[in-house]
Amino acid sequence: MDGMNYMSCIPILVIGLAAANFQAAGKDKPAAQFESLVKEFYEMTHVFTFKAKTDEERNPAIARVGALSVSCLKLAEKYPKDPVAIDALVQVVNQELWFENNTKNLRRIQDGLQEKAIAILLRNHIRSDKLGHACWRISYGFHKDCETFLRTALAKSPHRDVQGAACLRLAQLLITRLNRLDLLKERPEMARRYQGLFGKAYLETLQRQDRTQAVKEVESLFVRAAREFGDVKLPYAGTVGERAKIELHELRNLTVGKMAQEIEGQDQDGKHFKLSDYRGKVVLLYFWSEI
Amino acid sequence: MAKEMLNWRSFAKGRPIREKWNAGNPGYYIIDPQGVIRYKWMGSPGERAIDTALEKLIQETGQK
Repeated sequence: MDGMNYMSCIPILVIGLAAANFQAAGKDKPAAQFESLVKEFYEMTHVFTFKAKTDEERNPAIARVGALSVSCLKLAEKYPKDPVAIDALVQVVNQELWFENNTKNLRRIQDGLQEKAIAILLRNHIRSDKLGHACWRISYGFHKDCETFLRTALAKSPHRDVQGAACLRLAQLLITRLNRLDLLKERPEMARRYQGLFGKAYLETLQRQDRTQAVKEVESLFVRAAREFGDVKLPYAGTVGERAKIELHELRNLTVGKMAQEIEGQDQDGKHFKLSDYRGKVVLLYFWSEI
Repeated sequence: MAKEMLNWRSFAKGRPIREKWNAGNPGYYIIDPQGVIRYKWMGSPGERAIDTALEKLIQETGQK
């Protein structure tokens, strides 16, 4: 009986070793390395947002995210021809944006990781058909090179899907930036923060731009996005055309100086009411959702 | 209003309204007595900016 048990263990042991070797080999693949870095990023943001209660507890998570950006950049530089290189570069941008939005520490920006990642995307990958996602993430950025990337993708990408994404996202970046510049006029105490986010010289250039001309450019980009790239699908839901038309409606009808459009509905007690019921009063209209 | 702990009037089922207005979360509009949009922020500009804008407009229109 003992002999039988010994023999029956051998195949299991061999299969077990083979599986372990296969996994070890898989872990070395760039895609697996990237997956592991992304997983750790989300774990760190979870610690930062939900688990840590003090700055002392948050700081290690912040430091680790910084190290992960460096690792993503190195991965992209080590495997420039691998499809994961673009994902890793976009992830650098994504993580640096997380820094900008979630921490007061602007040291990351000075490290220039985002600029390096975008420079590599422009230099090596501008003709890739995978840049639609990059356009989306980069459109949330502040730096000059984010705008440069979107303008270049729109002008040089041979792929209609990428051009459509670049056109829509460039318009969104420009209008969001105009809104931020407006806010800075109202709240000059934010100058230091914005200088850190945009870069001092770039911010000064933006503050000198002709707002009317800038709005015209935004409008023409949304019109172009709807007209030329209307059927291009967006990540998650909808098309470039649908999104561009919503943005155009807002730009043309829901800006400062326009008449507020009527809103009609029931209040939280089931009573019917209209926005125009409050004509003659100053009204604060506040949009907020839990989801 | 008491049930929802809100001391302001709110549109129930506001999602279609939010989509039509392409409003951010949060999004703020300040509308003057003539129904004209005078201030707009997507994302919070901070309480002080909102209070200042409201006070300025209320003073301008002589409203109490």
